Amino acid sequence: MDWLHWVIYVVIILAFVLTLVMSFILIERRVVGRFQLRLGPNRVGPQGILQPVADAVKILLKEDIIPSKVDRVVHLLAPIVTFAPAVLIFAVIPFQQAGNGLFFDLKATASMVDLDVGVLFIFAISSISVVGLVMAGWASNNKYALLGAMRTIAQMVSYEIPMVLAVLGIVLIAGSLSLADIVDKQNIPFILLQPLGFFIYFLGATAEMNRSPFDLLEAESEIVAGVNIEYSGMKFAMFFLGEYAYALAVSTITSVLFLGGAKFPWGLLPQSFIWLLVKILLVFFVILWIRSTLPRVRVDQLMGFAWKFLLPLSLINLFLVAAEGMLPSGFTWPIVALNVTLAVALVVIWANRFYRVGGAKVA
Amino acid sequence: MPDNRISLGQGILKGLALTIKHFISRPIITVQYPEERLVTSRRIRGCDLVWDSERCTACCTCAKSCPQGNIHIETKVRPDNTREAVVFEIDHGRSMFCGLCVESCPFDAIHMGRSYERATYNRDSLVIPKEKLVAQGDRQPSGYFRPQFEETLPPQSLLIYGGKSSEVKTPENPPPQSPATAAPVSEKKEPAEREKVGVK
Repeated sequence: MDWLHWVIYVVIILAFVLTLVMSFILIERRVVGRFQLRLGPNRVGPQGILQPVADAVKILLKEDIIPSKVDRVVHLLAPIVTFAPAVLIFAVIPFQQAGNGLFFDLKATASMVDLDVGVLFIFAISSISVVGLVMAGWASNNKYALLGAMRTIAQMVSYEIPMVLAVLGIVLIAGSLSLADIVDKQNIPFILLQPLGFFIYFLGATAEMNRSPFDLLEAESEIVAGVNIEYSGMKFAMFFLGEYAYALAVSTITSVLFLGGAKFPWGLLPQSFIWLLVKILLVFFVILWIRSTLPRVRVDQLMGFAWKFLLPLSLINLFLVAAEGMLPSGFTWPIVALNVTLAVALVVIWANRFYRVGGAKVA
Repeated sequence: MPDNRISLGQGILKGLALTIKHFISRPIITVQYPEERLVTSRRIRGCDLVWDSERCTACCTCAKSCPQGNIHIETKVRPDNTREAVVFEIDHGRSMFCGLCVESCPFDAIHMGRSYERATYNRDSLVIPKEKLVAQGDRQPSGYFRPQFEETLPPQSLLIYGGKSSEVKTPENPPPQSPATAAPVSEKKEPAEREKVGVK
């Protein structure tokens, strides 16, 4: 019954991604509204929960304009290439581990495929969405779209490196690239063992998915709307959904790699997909918190931050993890204390150094 | 240009602490319009005109002063040699609410209204006859050019009465009235917070 497994998981993943993406849109608008001392959308349905449905209906009924001078094939393909990788990532996400659960027990890990190289798969796939953005920028035949796409390439290439180096620390601790194994190994969440790695990964991921304060892709005061300037109707909605699906993917990967996935911290309660969901929402809240606090950075600051701040720190972090791997096992809590201290000290020292050599200025 | 100040990202932490404080404890400041309303200025020139049939002598000064000729009056002489307005209509659809009719009335018989909602489904209902022009329902006279009304009206929400700045501006203003007449929205604000805004 192998095909049944595929069918069931395709349905589960599509339902999971689409429901959560819809609710993320509403959650973002309500939470950011609350941060700005207003209510956000609260008219459609009780507490505005039908707002995403209303938006979807509106956007489906809109006219789909294809400008006459665009490269038609690439222009039509770009939104799909941007959206699809974000969904593909969920193929390897373990929603619940094998064994006893809070509501039901499982014989095997609840993921579509339990790849041995799951981490590699995630980073390989998530890089494809850059290609979609570049296609959109090029095919739109518009200078603002092209500028936005060029910024995006530079940004994504720069931030991929510290991000992957930070995740390498996790892989070293867990001794496996499989996400199910990584969750299995997290008797204490890896955020405690790898605070600096989490810091670097989270900032890198925020930049990767073009969220504020790194949303230079669509800096409306500079390049109008960036790559999606020539897109309208459902094609624009695909970009919009892709952005949120990617935010969902990043929240999920962060939960799985650093917060223990479906496990309850310290195993106080049996594991369940509910905990994964709670962690995803928690991470997304932090993303929104950062969005409503920090203004957008400049392009040179963005590049300087990646190359002069995150990259050296991630190399130091990788070295530290490798060195700690030499220690005999059983020193969990001293290592946690040491790593938290080192993370704070390194960030403080490097931030000061970073500032003294001219901050993120490139010149 | 590097300087010797120490920058450890404490500014970012400060900002994050501020926003989460707002998220948790600051009350929502937006007004949920159809359910909640702010009290308008006492001297608002609202979207209607209120006519007082008792005081009107049908002298037609308002009709003559109207720059657009929106006020249509037909009069009749009573047995005691006074006049009465048989027809008194104002076309609110063409009015620009300049208030010249209110200022020109020698008997304080026409006032600006306080209402600001005048959406209708057809133009004819914007021409208001004299039966509907009198004060009734939400059609109440405002304090524009009528200081006798101004003192009885509730203070405007989000506007500061009392305190230094407003005392200088309007020395003849009475002190703030009892909070019972103020709008529910304005009551949400603490008095200290109001005064702070007023000094700015």
